[in-house]
Amino acid sequence: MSSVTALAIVGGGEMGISRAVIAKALPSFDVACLVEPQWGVGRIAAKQVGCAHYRSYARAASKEHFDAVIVCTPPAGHAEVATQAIDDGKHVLVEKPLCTSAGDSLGLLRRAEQAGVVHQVGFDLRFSPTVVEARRILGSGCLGALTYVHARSHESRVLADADRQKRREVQQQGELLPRLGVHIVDLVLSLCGPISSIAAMGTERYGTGTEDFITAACRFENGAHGVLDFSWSIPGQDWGGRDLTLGGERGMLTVTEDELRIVMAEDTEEFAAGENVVPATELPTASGFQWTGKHLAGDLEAFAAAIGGQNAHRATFADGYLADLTIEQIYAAARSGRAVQICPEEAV
Amino acid sequence: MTLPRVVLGANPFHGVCYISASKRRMYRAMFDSVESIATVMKAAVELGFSALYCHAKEREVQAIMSVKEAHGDITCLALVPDFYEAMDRQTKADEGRSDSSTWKLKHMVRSLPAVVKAGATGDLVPLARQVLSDELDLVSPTEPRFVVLHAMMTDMACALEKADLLRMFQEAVREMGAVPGLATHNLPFCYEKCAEMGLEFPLWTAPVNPNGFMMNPSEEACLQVFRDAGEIVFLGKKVLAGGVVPPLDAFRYAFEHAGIDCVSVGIATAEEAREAIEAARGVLGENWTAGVEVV
Repeated sequence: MSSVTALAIVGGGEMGISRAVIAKALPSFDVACLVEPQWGVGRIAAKQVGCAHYRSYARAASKEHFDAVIVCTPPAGHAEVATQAIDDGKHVLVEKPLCTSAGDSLGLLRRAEQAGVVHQVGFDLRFSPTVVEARRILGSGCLGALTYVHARSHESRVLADADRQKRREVQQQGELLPRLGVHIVDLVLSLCGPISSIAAMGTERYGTGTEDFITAACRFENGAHGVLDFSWSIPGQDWGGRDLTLGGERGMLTVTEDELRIVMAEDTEEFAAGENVVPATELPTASGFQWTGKHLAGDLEAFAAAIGGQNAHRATFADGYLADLTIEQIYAAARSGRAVQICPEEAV
Repeated sequence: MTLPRVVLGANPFHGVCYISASKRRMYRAMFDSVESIATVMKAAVELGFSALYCHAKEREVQAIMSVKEAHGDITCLALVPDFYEAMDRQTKADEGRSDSSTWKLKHMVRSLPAVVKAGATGDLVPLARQVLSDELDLVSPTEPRFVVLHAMMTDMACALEKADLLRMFQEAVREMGAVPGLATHNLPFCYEKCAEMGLEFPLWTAPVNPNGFMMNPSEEACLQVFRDAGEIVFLGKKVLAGGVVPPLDAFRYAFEHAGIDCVSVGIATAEEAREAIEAARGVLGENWTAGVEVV
């Protein structure tokens, strides 16, 4: 395979177009075609990207040469398209959440492993400069053994004045955790390790037919205690309603998109005792092409590196499966009122 | 056209800040009226600023009009388009205007040929021309001498090699008697793409700061463009790296290390304006008020 990966992008919505723009700007990729079932939308989008347009993945695969597929359809369509692509021997990057059920995610993982293709989930927040730095600090061991985790993901999508149209949109687009909580769930799992058990409570407040608030208490396999708090009904959270606090035996680290706040009990080589603040603007950006303020270039560069045989940090389908399973179990705990164990299938 | 070397940025006026969510909220609350924006702009002008950035937002346009009324000749740089504001205007038309239905109908009828053409041929230029025309109409009362294309649009157009869109922008701005410029967050990439597409813009604006914040793909690659660019005028933005670099260090870096011509700096209070001016004077001397010619 050449060092330029030819891509098929499936889905002509916001994420599909964003991925296409960034892929066009990165030297590792070329966009061979765009798959979008809506003729007008697909035709306009493909014309802008400068590639062929097809209305189905099967048709695109029969007509075009491409090495990898980026799946940006609504989540309900992820499993079907990714399965076809894997069966064709294509490398696959699927937008988050990987699937709408943990069972489907596991099926995809096993299929991709068997086919020997590169598989990735679009958890682009992993490439945020503050998250990259938090991973480094955690890995340095300066906080000591992890004892406490607090994660918060708040938005202002469904508020008291939400009209019927807004509620209908919410119902169509999926529930709170797969829609908004999945990023923070992935960050928690990737930074803190797997969760072994969960108790949770959910509250529906605004007639969306699903929980508007969910809080989970959890225990991690490494013994750490955690609280995960999600809502799309907190006013004033239009930008910046996500944070993650990791408490260790010697210090505590809070990560947001804007900064890292490190509180140490005693002086260390890197941080003084007390509060240390590292703004995101002092951290390396490390992006081949910055667009829309998301971290999609880092995500795509890691995909390219993996296709090229390099060992880049990225989220695989195994991570996607664990995130989907954790979300499923949070709902199970919240709806049953009982604590549940999280038992991932073996070999994951 | 002369561009002053230090331009008052507008990010705080619409709540953009890279420090924290609480500061963003604070800015939005602080600058929720024409008067609140105009007060800071007037203070900055009284202290010596002679150029103001203006996003395509009604509040900012009105604030600049009010400053011009009080202080006369001010150089205005307009940044277009602002899709969020445009959508907001449409929503407000629905909510508040007594003639909202008629307004919306007229707007739809006017857009229809461009929408049909986009659907039939995939050609977005006529639709984009209409959006641009609306945006230029909005900022035209400020009589902008420079009109800069928003970084999100520049970066997208360069990634997708849309020379026709960039050329259309260039022509529309020239027609209104202003100098067209490009803002970008990917300077080396876009600069090279424009050269490949045979497009020349006399003014570019891109992040420049000692932290390398948003200087993609690397600080060194951006500095190399500044060194090699010759006659092009660069207006540095994000010079304070979101507020963490003191103005004196920021200006030393921009003017002396990067060697660029001009900077824009976002300011939320008269005190910050005073601090920026002292820093400009410290680096550029009494000539800090001089401008550079952009052709």
